[in-house]
Parts: sequence; structure tokens; C-alpha cells
Amino acid sequence: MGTVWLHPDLLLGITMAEGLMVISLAAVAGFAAVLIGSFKYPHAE
Amino acid sequence: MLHHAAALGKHAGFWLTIILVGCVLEGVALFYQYVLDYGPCVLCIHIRIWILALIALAVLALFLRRYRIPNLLLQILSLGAAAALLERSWMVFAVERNLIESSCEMSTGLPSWFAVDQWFPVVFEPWELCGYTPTCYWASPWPKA
Repeated sequence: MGTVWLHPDLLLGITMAEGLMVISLAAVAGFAAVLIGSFKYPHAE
Repeated sequence: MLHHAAALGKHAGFWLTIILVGCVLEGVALFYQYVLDYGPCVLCIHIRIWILALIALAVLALFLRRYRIPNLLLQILSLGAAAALLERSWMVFAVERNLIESSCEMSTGLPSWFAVDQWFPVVFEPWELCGYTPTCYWASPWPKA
């Protein structure tokens, strides 16, 4: 079970697997948005 | 919204950010391996390889971002690499949470023409079987009492 805890000094810890899930989900969403945008607005600057 | 996203794909800062984040992630992985002594499993090695692929694609895109077809191709490849990274991350997460039956081995399963685990064992050699992953701390890698 992953550990999410708040320390009194606001130190937040999650497991590597949880962190990787968040990062990779953000990467897929980000690249998908950029790619769809590039097709829809080819001359965007 | 998508208009801004499209503009991002042609912006050097976007690709530099991908390179920087990728290097930081690889650095964190090596820090946990060699400083905190958390050996990587085979899935972690696959994740390192996909992050390295994203860095390589971002370097190419940094130089080719002004050319429409190469830029689109690199964006498609980056999305594919990110999807593969998500799939490997899900496997690590699912193994850790006991959501799937783990059949993790010590072999990376890489073909002989891409045996990076033998060419660069310092970075790509698995040390342990899959299972628990360490807790990461944003401010410090060591928990305080």
C-alpha cells in the first residue's frame, strides 16, 4: 500500500510507483494536447 | 487551449523542459540506486529506457521543431513513448498494490541489437525483483522522526 503522509513541516511523501503514474499520465495528456493542437492549428505560433 | 498547445510544440522551452525533467528523473533514479541503495527492478529499467527515449526525441525536436512534418512525427513518437512509459508505470504501480499477479524476472528481455543492460550496466542493469518501490520525498529523501 502506498504511503501518503503529511509531516508537520508539510513534507509530502508518495511512493515512486505513484509518482511515476502521475508523471506519465501528465506526459500522455500533454503530448496528446500538443499533437491534436498541431493538427488543428498548423500555423499556431 | 489547443491553440496554445499547438504553439508549445514549436517552442524551444517546451522541448528543453522535457529534456530537463527527463534528466532530473534519471538522476533521481540513480540517486536512489547508488546513494540510498534501492536497486532497480526490470520494470524500473524499462521506465529508464522510455524516459531516455523521450529525452532523445526532445533533443531531435529541439532542432527540428520549425519543420512541420518532422515536428509532427516527433510529437507522435513522443506520445507513443509517453504511452509506453504510462504502461510500464501502471505495471509497477499494480505490482506494488497487488492488483495483478507479478511475473517479473531479472532479465530485461531486450533484443541483442539493443542490449543496453549489457552495454551500460551501471544505468540499465536490474538488481532486484519487482515489488515495493521506495517513498519519494519532495524536500528530502530521508523521513524525519
